[in-house]
Amino acid sequence: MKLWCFKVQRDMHPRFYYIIPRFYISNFYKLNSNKSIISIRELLIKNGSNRFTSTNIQKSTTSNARSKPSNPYQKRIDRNKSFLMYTTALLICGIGFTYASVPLYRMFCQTTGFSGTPITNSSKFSPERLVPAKESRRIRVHFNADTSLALDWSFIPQQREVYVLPGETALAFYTAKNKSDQDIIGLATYNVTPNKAGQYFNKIQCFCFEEQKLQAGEAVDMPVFFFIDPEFTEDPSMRDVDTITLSYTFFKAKYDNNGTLIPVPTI
Amino acid sequence: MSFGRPPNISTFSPTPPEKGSFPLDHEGECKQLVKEYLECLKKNQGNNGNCRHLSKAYLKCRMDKGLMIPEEMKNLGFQDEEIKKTKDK
Repeated sequence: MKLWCFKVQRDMHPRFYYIIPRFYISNFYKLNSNKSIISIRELLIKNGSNRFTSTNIQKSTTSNARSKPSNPYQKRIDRNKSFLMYTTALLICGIGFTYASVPLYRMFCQTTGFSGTPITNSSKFSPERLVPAKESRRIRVHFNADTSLALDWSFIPQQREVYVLPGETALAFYTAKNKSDQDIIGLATYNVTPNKAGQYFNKIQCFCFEEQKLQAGEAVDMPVFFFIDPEFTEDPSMRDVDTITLSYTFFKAKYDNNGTLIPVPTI
Repeated sequence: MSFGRPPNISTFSPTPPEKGSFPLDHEGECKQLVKEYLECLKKNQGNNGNCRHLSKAYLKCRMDKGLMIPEEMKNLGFQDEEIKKTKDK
């Protein structure tokens, strides 16, 4: 019977032991208590001489297999068993995490508003926060209006700017006129500049994100009821913010054959 | 929203309004109050503090005409005016 192993000379310099990759060692070599590499052949020699051994090979001086009562592969068996335990535990943890990730992700989205999830936490609209902060300066809120090119409306703000205190609710008006001869549905979105001030701009009621249908030739006033969060005064990065620009953009929308509202792209 | 954009710490994400959208005032039932409010703003150079009573009147008009869900004024931020009223009385 031929033993499949590489020959390693016992009197090799220990430096060379490291050239051999470790995973080869597990198959072909063993580490004795001296942490030097011996081949399987030599391992068998310690358990008893057979016709494959030669008398030139020296036995290992330290006790290795003899001291252990059971078989010389016990270490490998124990190692494999612990490896199996760890792998099984990891697998179960992975499956459990996969199942738990669905509600966890939902909770994470709702608290942080990640990837566009609307934050439906209404604690920042409580009446105690809607008190004007009389000591702070008035912030200029500038209004801007845009329409998509596909939308034949005239959409303008009725006031250029409003000076508000943080915590003070304010009303602003936009006027939209349908200049075409058909009923058109419009959908508005808004933007607040500077970006860092956007987190303090709260709208109580407005006309954005919901469809607004205007008859042909109709003009209508669209109010925006908003306030700036009182915590604006406590944020040091807002100290240089004197003007906030609220910009609304109207897009054209229509109902498709399935009854869902889709935006009409600007061609 | 877009992959590969340069990192920007202060990003803006639109949030929905608390009470949703105002129903459109197609018949112009509260249009007179709109005009009064805008004139007040023009006179005060956009200072909101002096014109708040008119915005309160406009919202009250909307609630009366069914164009807005009735809401207590203090939830809309007008509680200091109500305190002033009771003080004057």
